Amino acid sequence: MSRFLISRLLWLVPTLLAIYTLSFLMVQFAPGDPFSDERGISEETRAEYRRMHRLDRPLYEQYLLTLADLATLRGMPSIKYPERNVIHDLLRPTFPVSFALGLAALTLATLAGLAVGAYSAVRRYTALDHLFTGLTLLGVSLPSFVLGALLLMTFGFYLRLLPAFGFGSWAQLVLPVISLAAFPAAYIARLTRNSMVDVLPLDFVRVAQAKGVPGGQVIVLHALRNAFLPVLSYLGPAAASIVTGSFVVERVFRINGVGHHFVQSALNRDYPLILACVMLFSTLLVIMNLLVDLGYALLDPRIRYE
Amino acid sequence: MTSFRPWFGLISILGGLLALNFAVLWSVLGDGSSAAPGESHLRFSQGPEIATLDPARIKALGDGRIAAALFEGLTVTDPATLSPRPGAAGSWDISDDGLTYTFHLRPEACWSDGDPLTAHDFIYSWKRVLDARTAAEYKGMLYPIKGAESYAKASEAGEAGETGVTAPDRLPQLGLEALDDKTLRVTLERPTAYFLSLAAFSTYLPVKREVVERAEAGEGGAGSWIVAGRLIGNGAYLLKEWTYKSRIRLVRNPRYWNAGNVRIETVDVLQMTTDLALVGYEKGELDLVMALPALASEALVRQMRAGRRSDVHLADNLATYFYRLNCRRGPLKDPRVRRALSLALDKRAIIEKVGRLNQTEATTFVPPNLPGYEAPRGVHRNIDEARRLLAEAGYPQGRGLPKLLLLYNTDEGHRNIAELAMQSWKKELGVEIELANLEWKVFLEEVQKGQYDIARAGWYGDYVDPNTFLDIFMTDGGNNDTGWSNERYDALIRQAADAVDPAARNKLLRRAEALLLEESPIIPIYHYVNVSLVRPTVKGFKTNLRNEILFSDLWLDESGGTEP
Repeated sequence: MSRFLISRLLWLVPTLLAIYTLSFLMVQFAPGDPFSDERGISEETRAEYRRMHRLDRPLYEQYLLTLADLATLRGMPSIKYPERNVIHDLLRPTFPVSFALGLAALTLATLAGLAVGAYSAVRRYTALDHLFTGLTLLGVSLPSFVLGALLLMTFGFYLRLLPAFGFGSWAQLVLPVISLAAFPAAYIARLTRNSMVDVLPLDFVRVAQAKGVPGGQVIVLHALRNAFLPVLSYLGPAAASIVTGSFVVERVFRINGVGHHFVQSALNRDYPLILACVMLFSTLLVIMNLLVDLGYALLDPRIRYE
Repeated sequence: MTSFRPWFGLISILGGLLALNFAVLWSVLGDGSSAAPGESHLRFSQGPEIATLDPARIKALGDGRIAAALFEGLTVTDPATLSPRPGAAGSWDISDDGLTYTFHLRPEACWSDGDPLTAHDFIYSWKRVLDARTAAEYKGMLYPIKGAESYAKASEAGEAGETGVTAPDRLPQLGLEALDDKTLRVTLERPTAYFLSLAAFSTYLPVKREVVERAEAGEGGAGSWIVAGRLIGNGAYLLKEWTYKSRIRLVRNPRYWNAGNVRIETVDVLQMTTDLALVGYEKGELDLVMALPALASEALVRQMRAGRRSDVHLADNLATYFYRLNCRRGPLKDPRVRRALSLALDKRAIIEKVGRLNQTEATTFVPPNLPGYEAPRGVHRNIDEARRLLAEAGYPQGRGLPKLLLLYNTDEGHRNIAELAMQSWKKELGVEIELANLEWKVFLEEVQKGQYDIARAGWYGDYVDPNTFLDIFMTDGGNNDTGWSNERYDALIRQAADAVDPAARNKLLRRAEALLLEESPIIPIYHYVNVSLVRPTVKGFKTNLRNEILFSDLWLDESGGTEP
């Protein structure tokens, strides 16, 4: 078990390094100049800016220095906001917001998806099952920003039941979290239903029922627990879809999260901020996948000794 | 190996997830620190971005507004008239030849930490702007000062060396002299009629030497003094708090020489997107909003015109939306073709269908009604003349004219305008246009490289004088980008810069603009407007061409109408 854990942890570093290298190169070769604006700047000013942000140094030097700055979390000044450190001033205040949002969406998606999927499997072919099938189809088909905009207009403006914009109160969480959670929830629901349908007829379930274990416990502790594995595998990609969905959802609901920085930094060619954002999200996702692997090992004794 | 523990595994995973969730949410939410509004508290919004408050580096107008509250220049632009009025300098003398300005600083003017404000502070601050290491994009605003341009260039050259630092003593003489602590003598390169207006500009604001140098030497780096608690200014307000990307809180500076007349105690500058600001205003959380979403602006202006709202303010701006024409390639090398396009464009339709805020049609490049400036006749739509010119150039009814590429940066408004332009040119002249939208940075690159025939552009004037619009198009001007070069134009602009007599100067500028419009390297389309929402309790607000605002000029009157 610990060997498994250690080998997974060791893979973390080369993976992140590969992501960093690729991003660093892409960012250097993208067209467009970080310092250009409607008003032109003189060649000397541009040269001075490039010097300030280390862009006049050889590529390998920039690569290593930026890597060091990011890995040690010392950070470096943003190009667009040179008085601000990308990590301490720009990402640190906004990250908790995005993280809270994403985590809430993931939790909601998992719990709701499991519940809906399990119910649908147990009460197969009932009216509610058909309803859920339709809803989940809608859920996987609608992009998060379309759903977000629809929810915003309906509940935020027409019905005025929920606050439309911003972040800070529990009520303001509702719409963005639902928008982000819808797709993974629907996907998880369908996964769960299929998986449960496979698991429910199996012998060990009948044994548990025969033993007199109450129905609810059978479903959750015995059947669902085994049916959960495909869902667990999906949680890694689910996290990724929530992260990417958050860029647009944060924009739709005017939430001051990392997504805003991610998108704007790309548009501004703000190299330090771009790299910081990319590494932040990559690390998050890599760790998420590691946790999923760990969860797998926890849940399925057969996997424990790899 | 493992006994069957049903609670382990799934339940713990889900339970852990839920618990983590609540922990994170709990710590992140319920965090809104909203201070109770004091007696006179203005809540202001101008969009989400503040790039910097360092006077040397300020480019954006919004940043300049806040800087104008924290620092005070020799002169201050009066928002009502846009003329300069005494600021940190109580009075000044101007020599007859217009080259020497002697500013007398107010004896009571001081920094917010109590230290007196001196002429040396201004000299230091302006040298800092010119120093290459500051990389101040607007350093050109200081070039009217004698020796400033050479100082800047020498500083840039010094930077190329390994040691990097060129001691200030070795740099060429600047026309700046402190006759004593409270008297600053400025010698100009040439008589600059609008110098007093320039002296109010962000780039000319003073910063305190010890504060800046301590920051540069310290760990935080060059910008680390621009935070609450460390920023020392000489303006009407202090920087009490700056929650990045959320709120700036300004409080009245008791040491400001005119603190007695500053009536608003606290100003909150709330950074939020324009639609959030609109919602915030309607909910009563904002008092003054200067940046609004386009669609909403249209609705607000309509309501204002119908008499249903009295808190909407529409102001003409010192800014022009125009098209650049690439004079270096293809048929646009011929001024007749360019002029034909200019004469045939249906600007009215563009304003009515896209702009929709009753913007002024631009018949000239410089916005109208600048005090003291008589605009040239301008370009008025004339289809027959346009057709005649096109035929004369060898393309009757557009035959033989290759397709022209019209570039614009991705935006729905720009696209709609481009489509209307395309339609009117096709219909009236038979000219074929190909539209292409590019992402902003790529667009800038293509325009600067000259890879376009027609390109969308906008220009905001920096000071209230035609020169800020006209000197762009001198040969090889940094913002020219059209390849247009005309010796007579260059000569006129230079002569105007040297002219002492305002009437003679304006005549020269008028001739220059007439030449510009005749040769048509650009097609002016309309002049921008700005829509603001001002709660009736806010008094003293004056709309003006540059959307300038001084918090110290405003006051709140709680009595009277409370309708939003």
